[in-house]
Amino acid sequence: MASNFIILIIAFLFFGAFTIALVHRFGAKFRNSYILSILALINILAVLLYQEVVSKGSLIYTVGAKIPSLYSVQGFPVRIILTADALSGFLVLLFVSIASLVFLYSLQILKEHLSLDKFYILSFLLLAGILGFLITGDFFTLFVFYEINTIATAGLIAFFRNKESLKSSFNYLVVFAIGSLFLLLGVGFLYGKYGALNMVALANNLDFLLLDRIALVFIAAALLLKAGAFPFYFWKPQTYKAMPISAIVLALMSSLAALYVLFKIVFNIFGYNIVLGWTLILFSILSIFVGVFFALKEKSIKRILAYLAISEVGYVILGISAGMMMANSEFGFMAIKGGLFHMVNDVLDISFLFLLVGIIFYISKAKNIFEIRGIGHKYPFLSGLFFFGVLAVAGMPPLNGFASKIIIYESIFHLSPALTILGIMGSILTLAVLIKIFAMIFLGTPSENFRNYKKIPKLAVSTIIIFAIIMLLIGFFPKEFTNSFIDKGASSLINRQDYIH
Amino acid sequence: MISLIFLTTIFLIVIGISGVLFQRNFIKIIIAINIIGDGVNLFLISLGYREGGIAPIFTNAVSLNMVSPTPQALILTSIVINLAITALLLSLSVLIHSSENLVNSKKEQDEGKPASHNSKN
Repeated sequence: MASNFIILIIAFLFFGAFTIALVHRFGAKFRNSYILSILALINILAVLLYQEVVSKGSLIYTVGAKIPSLYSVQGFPVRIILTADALSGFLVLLFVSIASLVFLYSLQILKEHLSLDKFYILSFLLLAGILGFLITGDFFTLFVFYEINTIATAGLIAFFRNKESLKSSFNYLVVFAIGSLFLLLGVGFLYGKYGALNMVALANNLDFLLLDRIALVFIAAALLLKAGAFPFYFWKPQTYKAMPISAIVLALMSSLAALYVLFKIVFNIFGYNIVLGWTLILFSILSIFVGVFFALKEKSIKRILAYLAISEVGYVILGISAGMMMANSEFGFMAIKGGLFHMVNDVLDISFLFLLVGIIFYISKAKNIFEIRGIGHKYPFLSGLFFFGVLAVAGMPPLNGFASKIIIYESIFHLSPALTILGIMGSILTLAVLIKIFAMIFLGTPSENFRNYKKIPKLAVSTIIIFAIIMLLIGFFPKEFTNSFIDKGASSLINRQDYIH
Repeated sequence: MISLIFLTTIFLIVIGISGVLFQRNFIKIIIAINIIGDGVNLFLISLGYREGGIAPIFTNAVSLNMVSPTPQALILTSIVINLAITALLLSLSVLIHSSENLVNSKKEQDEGKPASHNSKN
């Protein structure tokens, strides 16, 4: 019974996505309340699911079967399987609640846009794709959700329908069509060898010979592409530049969900591997520095933040893959915990900055940051919030970014002190980038057209104040937060034996 | 027989990828993506192939030497998804065309636009 929550979340999201087009005909107010009621329902389901997985352990839902099992009555190990454990249940809850805040925000910020129903349809589909990443239990469903994710994101990139956004959408779709076909090819290798698609059956049988390694390379490449980590980061800046701000937050979550799937596959199915671990550590260090260095020379604020998102993804990979290298030791567990904790902080901090920039562009109707130079003189409250976000992303105490980065630094020190030094350097450079854009936007001589500015959108500002409160609470009580949310997730990620049985 | 199929798969994927990398025309890029998709689908369906197997439908016939139905179900989904992507790419290229009256993305580069619009990658 309880395992029905898994499918219900996805089902209601898809139902909502396709009925919004219909409901839209009854007027904007009705549509907005419809969207909010569906989100409330999904939030309740996510809370119930999380309670269930925390109290009773992982859940399995088999689509189209009375009894959840790996094999059908005839003995085929091929079924559509959805699973939720403590970690994916927590991430579902986190992403659903952040997405709800973002939808509230976009109710006000995007209000004047005409094709708003399409924005909500695509965002619901994208959210369903993200949650699908978190709960999929077999590789083919993973491929399907990857494609749902890709198509919905491409639609959202083309939302403004200007030349730039259409081109970025085309490029994005070309890149990800190839990426998803590589994922399918990797899945095909595994199917050809073992005749199974579900992750548990594969984890039981895998012998990690050459063919499995090739399959892992294909699958990992496709997922790193989605995550936007080092070798495949190129799509992120131009994509985020073209997207509406609220959709960027969803795209950030889809990157992190892809990382979660990657580590779930690596930990639970393929097991620990030194070559893979060092490769991922190398990629993570390179993502940190590539992100920060490109951000230093950028002029557009959305592109700067996109590059910083790349470097923050690097920290997540650094923590978790260093933890994989030191598996079975206390520090390894701590590093994995730090990486997962940073996943939470990354989505909170970077979304916070993006949403705040969205508000600034909304009230000033500006096209680039040169038009809004010196806006801090008129809106000291917004500049204070932005400075708060800057400190959080750069990892300054006592905010949440510091809490997770210090765990990562302390634990990876035992793998190699050089990694810690590189991580701290990346953090300092992040602070430099952010101080630069803070000075560019908020300090500086004010430009003249302040009189035409709109009023501050109260609903949108209150949603980001909620973000700020959460960030502050996590920053002040990191121990309590990790103990109650992250610990169980981290142990469910690394316990391969739990996963197989 | 099987190795011929695998060689064809590799051939199709290589053709497709080189098409995406070296072609500048939107329609040709879309065709190249379709070719990669066909290669992957061919690979998947060959996994379930059996020499002399019949269609996987349970009847009263004696022979149970069926080809595996799973890859067929999988590539059915994959074909539909490829169709969706192709349709979306085509509609985007139509929109880009009408917004600037230019299908050929190479022309744009020759006019000295920044390299960030490079559609290959």
